Amino acid sequence: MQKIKIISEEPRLLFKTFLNPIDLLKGLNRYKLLLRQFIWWEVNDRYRGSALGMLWTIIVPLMRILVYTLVFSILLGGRKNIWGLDSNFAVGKMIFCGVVLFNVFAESVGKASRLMWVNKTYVKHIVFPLEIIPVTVIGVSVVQSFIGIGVLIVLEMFSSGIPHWSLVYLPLVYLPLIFFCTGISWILATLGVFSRDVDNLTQSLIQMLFFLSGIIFPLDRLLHLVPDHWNWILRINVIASIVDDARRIIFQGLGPDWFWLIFNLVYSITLMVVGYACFMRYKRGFADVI
Amino acid sequence: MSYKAPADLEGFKQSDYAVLVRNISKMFPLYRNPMDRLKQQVFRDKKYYDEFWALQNVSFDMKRGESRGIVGHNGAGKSTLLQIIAGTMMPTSGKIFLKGRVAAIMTMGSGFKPDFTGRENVYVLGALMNVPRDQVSGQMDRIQEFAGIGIFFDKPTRMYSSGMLARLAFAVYTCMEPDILIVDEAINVGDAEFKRKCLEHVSALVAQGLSLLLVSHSPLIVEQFCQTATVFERGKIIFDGDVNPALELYNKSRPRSNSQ
Repeated sequence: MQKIKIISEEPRLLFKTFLNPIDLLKGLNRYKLLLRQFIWWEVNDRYRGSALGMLWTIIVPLMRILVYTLVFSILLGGRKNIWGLDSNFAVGKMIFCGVVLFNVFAESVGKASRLMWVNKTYVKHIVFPLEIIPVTVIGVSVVQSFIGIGVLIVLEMFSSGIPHWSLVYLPLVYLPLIFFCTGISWILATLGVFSRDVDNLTQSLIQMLFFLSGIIFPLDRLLHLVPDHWNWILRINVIASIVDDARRIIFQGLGPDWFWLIFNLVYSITLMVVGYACFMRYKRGFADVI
Repeated sequence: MSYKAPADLEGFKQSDYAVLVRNISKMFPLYRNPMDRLKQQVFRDKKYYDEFWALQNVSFDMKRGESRGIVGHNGAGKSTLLQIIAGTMMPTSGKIFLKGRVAAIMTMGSGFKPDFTGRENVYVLGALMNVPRDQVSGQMDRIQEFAGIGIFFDKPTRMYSSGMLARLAFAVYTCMEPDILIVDEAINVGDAEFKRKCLEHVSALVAQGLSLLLVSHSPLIVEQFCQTATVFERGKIIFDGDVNPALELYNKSRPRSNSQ
């Protein structure tokens, strides 16, 4: 017997019907094959047609570390008084670690509000699970950051021998980052369909967050600026905590800051569930607007 | 108009009908500015828009193996209807019953990734249609042969002419063995030779039970492909029946005036 499909008028969709973590998992699980293929295609797409191909994924990080070393340590002289480190190169690596993780956020969230407009054909011309488009973007930037972090770990091994055992915590640090970016991307993708102003706003907010996340200086410097009981304001920016944790794990051989890690995990999962509900509630209307 | 097709779901399952369209209407809210759209979301009991009815009370049936042309001037609501049947847009009211897999060729090259080769793009389209990868691989030779674009099959699709894109898309969609095929102006792109090939291929599929919905501005193409046709004017069906009287009526009817 062939499958019957019934299309009928829009039922009154409620935000809370989608506010369900199990629904979210089921939804993503259903399309995991499509998701994996899309991420793989996107990653491939970036280096297609260039002579050096995938080699760029290694050359680019190396060049960036050199630039950061040159500018932030040698030219600006931040090695001793900001970072308290002995070598210029170590400062370059610290900053690179922050930039790589921040880029996961900046790339995915920065694209999110324009995402449905860029992928017009998926919205209008074919039946496509639109909710996986933001996830694809995040997947691609996470894969890219893996390569960057990988290069970093190899460099760290050159200078200090065997890698720290604390590296086992690294995947744990990635989780809140991924959930946080996914949640925000879903919300921004929805808002971006209805208003073009969202894009301008996010671009400037991302730039602001860059300086509030302790990328080009240690998070401690920032935390010292505000009274202790206001620290949470800086900490609800998941990126700040994550970058700090990643530095502890990769360079110092310490575990993550458990309190804030668990706080961020709970908070970013909530954000993701809300973002999913928001996207699913309004996605039926996307084709009418775009 | 009266419909012979069964109205209930069980009856539809047993019958040889593939598509039932029942009282479909589509209203687009027209906002004067984006702020009104936002206000509408917040204050639900007021109305901040003008109504535009793209479709009003549209109903028709299609049997398995039927090929139906949809004709009408620009803005008559043809594409809106196809988008609703394809599932990319929701109707404001009404119901549609569909039996089997639906494939829609709406805009040329939609879904293609320009830097990927034709062969890789076949997998992309397959994934978009939810066809398993090994089934796509199994059809690859047929698709390559049917597309007939020679060495370009293994070149990036950004190098393709619009005709080549149309050929590839058409080859993929028809070789994936859909039960219902929706074609929006796609066949027009190819040359005479390709049109002949499409005609043969689609006719063979229709003989096997494919239901074809074809939108075209060219009476010639509709005449070649379809036995029945539906004429749209300003969102309403003004004729539904044999293709020849339908095309006659279409040629006489006037487009929606610009002042509206």
